[in-house]
Amino acid sequence: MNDAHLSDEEIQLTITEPEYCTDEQFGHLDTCPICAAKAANYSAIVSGLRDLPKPVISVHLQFAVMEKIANEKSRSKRPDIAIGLLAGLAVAAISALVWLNPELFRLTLSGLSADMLGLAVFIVLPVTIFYGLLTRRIYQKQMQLLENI
Amino acid sequence: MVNPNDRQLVDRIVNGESRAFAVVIQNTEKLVSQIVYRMISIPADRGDIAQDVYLKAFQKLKDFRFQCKLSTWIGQIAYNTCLKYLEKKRLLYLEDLSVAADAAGQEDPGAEPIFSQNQVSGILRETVDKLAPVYRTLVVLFHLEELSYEEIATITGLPQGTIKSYLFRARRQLKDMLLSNYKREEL
Repeated sequence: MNDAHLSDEEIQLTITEPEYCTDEQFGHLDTCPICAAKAANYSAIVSGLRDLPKPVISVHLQFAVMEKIANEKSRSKRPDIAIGLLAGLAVAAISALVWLNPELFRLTLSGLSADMLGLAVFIVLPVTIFYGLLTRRIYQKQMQLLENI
Repeated sequence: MVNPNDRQLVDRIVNGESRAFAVVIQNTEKLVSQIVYRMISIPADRGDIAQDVYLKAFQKLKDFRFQCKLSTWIGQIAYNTCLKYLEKKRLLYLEDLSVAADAAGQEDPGAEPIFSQNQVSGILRETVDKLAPVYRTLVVLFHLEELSYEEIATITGLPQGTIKSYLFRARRQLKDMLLSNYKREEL
């Protein structure tokens, strides 16, 4: 029998990773009541840890996350809808003008009138600015998300 | 090591099948709950943090390179999210470790009373809660979730040697606390 007691670390290893322990260490445990008592206590702790109840943070976690993901997706689709709507309105406005005043349309074909040019700028410019701001906001949001991770 | 199921699942989600992310949540919810529960002591905040973990994972999924298991990667996000939360709230994560190390250095030369499995099971839950957050997180990842040192190192960013040393100290502290409780009951 080896008289020197096993260190606390060695005793823990005989429980958690016995494959790294020597026959001498196990032999000592068989004959030394002091080290054997410590080993028995560590063994009880390790078994107890394995049986600890698993915590449940929220039973609705999966549902809540999937709902947020769906909301996020529909929100990111909304700008497309807004742009489509604006573009549709612009086309409708131009079509209405052409229908109401075909003479003006003919003049435009031969040479763009100042009125028509003004009208085109009036419609296209806000749409372009809106789209630019929107792209910037989406980009900033994505960058913020990446930074948070 | 790449898990083929992980790759299939990630491909489906990245290609627009968001609903498949529910499977990822199902597969990893226990691990994320363990990490959040052990690191965050304010119950009201745990739910929001867990949701935040998954939203981050979803956003970042296209950048996942399969260098580890998907669950380990999500565990890493959970750990880092909790750390950021603690940092924001100015709460300490690595508190009292020097005190714990001193206590662990004191060897008791005498024979100690042996406590039974039933005695341990009854009070172990509260005893684990008394450990420093880093200790209880590591103890749970190693003993309850049965993760390897390598996986724990990936999740926490701690070196494997440090993890082994912290686990040793944590078990020692648990034993000391249980023994002092046992002796108090004996008196």
